[in-house]
Amino acid sequence: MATLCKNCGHALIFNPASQKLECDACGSAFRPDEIEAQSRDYRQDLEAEAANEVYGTKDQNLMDCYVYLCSECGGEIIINGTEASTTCVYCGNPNVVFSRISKQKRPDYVMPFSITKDRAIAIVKHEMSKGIFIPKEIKNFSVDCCRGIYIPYWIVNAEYADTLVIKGRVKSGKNSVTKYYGRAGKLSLSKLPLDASRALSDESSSKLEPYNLSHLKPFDEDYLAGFYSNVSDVTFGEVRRATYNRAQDFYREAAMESIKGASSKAVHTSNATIKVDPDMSYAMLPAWFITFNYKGKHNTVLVNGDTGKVVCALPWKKALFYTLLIVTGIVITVLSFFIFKATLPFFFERRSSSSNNDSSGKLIGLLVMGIIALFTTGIRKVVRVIKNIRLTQDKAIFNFMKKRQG
Amino acid sequence: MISVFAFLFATGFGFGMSCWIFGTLLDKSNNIGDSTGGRHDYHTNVHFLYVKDKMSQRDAQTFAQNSKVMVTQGAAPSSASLARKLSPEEIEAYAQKTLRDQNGGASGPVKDARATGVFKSTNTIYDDEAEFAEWEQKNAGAATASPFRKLDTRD
Repeated sequence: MATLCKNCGHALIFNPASQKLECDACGSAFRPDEIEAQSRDYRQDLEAEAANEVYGTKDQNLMDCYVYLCSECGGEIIINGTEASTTCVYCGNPNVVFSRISKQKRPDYVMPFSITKDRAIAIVKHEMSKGIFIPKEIKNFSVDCCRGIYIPYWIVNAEYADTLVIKGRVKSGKNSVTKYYGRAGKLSLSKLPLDASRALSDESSSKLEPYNLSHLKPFDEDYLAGFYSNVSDVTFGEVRRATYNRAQDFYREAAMESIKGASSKAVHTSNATIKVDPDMSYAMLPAWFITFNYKGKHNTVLVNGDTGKVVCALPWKKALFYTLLIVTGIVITVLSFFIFKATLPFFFERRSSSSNNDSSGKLIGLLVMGIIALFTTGIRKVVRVIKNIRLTQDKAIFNFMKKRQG
Repeated sequence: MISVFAFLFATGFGFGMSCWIFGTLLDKSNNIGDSTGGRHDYHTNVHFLYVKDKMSQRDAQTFAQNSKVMVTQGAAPSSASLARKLSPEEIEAYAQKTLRDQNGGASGPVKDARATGVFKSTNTIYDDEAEFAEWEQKNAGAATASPFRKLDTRD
């Protein structure tokens, strides 16, 4: 059901730029809190019906499909099991499935979009223009689809305790030895947002963070007008597990930071417990999903609808990358060859004369270690980019965004 | 010989350095927004209760055993049930259950009543003579003979 204009009866759409509900037909604008909840009690009882029941079939493909009727034109709107707001494919009007956000399922808060669709696309193009390895076709991409989606989040408070033992290498005279560091304590988490949609991977949603939670407003259906939204479909166990993982990361990070003068730090043993406050808050946070096609693959770029943070990894100009890598490699090799040729005899002479044997050997060892470190750091960064490109081209995130009406 | 070593080192260093430079550039150029909300973004407060540095492995084991810090999970909805907003009554019920569990609960550890001083037994032991007489009078009509009553010696 859409919220209708008081003046002309046309469906209202929330405009992030003005933070008001606007009518395309007569140009009227209203603050969401100004709109009377007319017939809301009636509307919240309207249920989306299972598609198989409506059509009298047992089609497996329709298992997660529900039928809802557009309040404007009466057209059938097909939604999935977790959608709370969508757009009518026939008349283009926004529709909110009130039964999914009413009573116990009603979110506590909503963070209205503050970034408009045009601004989101402009931010993405600006970010892409800075990349030297981003192909021109991507820099001048044409938007295949751009959708503003409210993602459901649980905002939790928790207390975490851990008895952590970290091992690290410390210098002891000429050698380095393994030493152990104990950090037993507690961590309190306050207002940690956790993605409550199974369809969207935690990896993607966590990268949209941080959200500025001071921008949260008490929930009002009118903020959903013109945007898509999903409702929570995770279990209490999944929320607890996600909280545990985040708390563990934060605690370990703090513990590692508190240890000075040790290298190669790694967790040796851990004994962690967590208590999640059952009084969780349910909120809807905004994100823009922008897709474009590149070489037959769908790429989905995410933009935080509040802060404008862009999340994506893009295919790179492989020919340019490898050419520059090899040419620079050859240039540095030639230059360093002359330097090594001039300096190595000095090291080897010192090695043969017994007095400074150790220090020369150490320098050579250090050089070999340095070379290995350069390779591993560089390769690790390339692997990270490749992994994130796969996430941007992931079918699950594309389906989460694309498989919606309108 | 020196030239061979110099060539090997130079090749390793040259391509290693190139790999690092272009790996970093690629990461900056094509990997946009690859970060998550950190602990400073969410007002996380870390408090270490026990800290010990530069221990041996043996000491580390002792530390792990003797310096345990834990939080009690408390009563919570079933892990398998869909996450939902709990009503104030449900939250209160879980808080009460947690409190009960922490205090032992039905199947929890039994506390020494004499030590706590809050235990009121129904099987009171009467030390006072007058109290005992009153009790005897109250239970005079009981079906079973009181062990404190005088025996009926009539034939």
